[in-house]
Amino acid sequence: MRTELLKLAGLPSAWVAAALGLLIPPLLVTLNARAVPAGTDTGFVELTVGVLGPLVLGTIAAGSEYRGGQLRTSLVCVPSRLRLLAAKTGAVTLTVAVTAALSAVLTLGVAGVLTGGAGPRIAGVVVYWVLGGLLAYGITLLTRSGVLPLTVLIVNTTAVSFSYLLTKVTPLAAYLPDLAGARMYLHDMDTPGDLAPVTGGLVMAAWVAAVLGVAGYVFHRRDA
Amino acid sequence: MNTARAELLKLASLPALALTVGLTWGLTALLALVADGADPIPYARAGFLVLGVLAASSEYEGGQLRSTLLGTPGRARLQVVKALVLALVATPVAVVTVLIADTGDAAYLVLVTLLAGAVATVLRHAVAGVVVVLGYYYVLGPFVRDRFDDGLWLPAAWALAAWCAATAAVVRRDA
Repeated sequence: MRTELLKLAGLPSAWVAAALGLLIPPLLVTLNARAVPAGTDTGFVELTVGVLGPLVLGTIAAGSEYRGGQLRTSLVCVPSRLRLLAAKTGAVTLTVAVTAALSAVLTLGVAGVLTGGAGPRIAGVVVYWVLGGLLAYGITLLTRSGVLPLTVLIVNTTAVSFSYLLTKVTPLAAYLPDLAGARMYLHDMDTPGDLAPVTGGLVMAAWVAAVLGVAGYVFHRRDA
Repeated sequence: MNTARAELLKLASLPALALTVGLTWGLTALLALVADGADPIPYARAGFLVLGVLAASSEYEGGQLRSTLLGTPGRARLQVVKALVLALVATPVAVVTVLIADTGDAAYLVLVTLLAGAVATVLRHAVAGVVVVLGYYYVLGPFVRDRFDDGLWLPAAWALAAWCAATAAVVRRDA
């Protein structure tokens, strides 16, 4: 696990990803402050977009192993593939959780809505970011290249979201990972379905667990 | 002319590009069918951005650029040819996308492809290119772009400027 953290810290792009997660939400809050009237979700909406940072981080944590055959070296040092994967997953989780907590406090501070009662919602943001990062990480393990997962997931976090479009086709889209997960901290969502925060978190966690399970199986079986 | 043929062959034989084009068309058709009222072009644009990024960054996987430069030592000329060939490849793809979507502007899609290609040339890395162009067009852009009209001159100017920067980078940088 220490090795995995070191590997991550040695990637300049990982620092860029963390900086993206830290800086985008406060920046958007500042930009939005004049245009959008303050509501119950001020700051939290911007934190949803900030999940971009964890998405990039998860992608490069998995994708960097597949550049120049680094994975073969890693597997020589840690022959047990599942142990290697567990350590890597732990490193991503830890890094994203720290980034998320810092970014949430910073963003809500800038938005001026950092109050004592915000605690549970901040926890929701942290869980959302960690699960988002792990989702990108799991998909990248499957595709072995970050381009496809990043394209789909980045476009999906924004105004032209596939998930949001799907809610107009079927109400079941409320159970997609991003929409269900956002229930953990957003109060005013104009999408159908009404999941409780904890239920939403569990739905998102189930998606991530499924993706990681498949990725883990494939990673275990595939030639490096 | 030989340079152009070589570049065209490279782009035509990249499986990732064929996959990107296929996914873009499939997605556009699906959106045009299913989501009535929603404009498929903002979604299809992501496909064109990825197309440009992959086309340009493929030279930097495994040092392919060194072989290319052995064949074509004139770097500035190589970059000009690359831009023209990328535009040539992107044009029919864009025209078909616009036909499928029944809306939109093919020239705009070609221009964003060129812009993405130039950005990826400067960055030399597919994932970094995707993050920068998608981050701009989908995350930061909507906040900035409201202040400009949606004419074609602005993307054209950006594509040209970015491609000049990319050419300068390739000419001055070690391969």
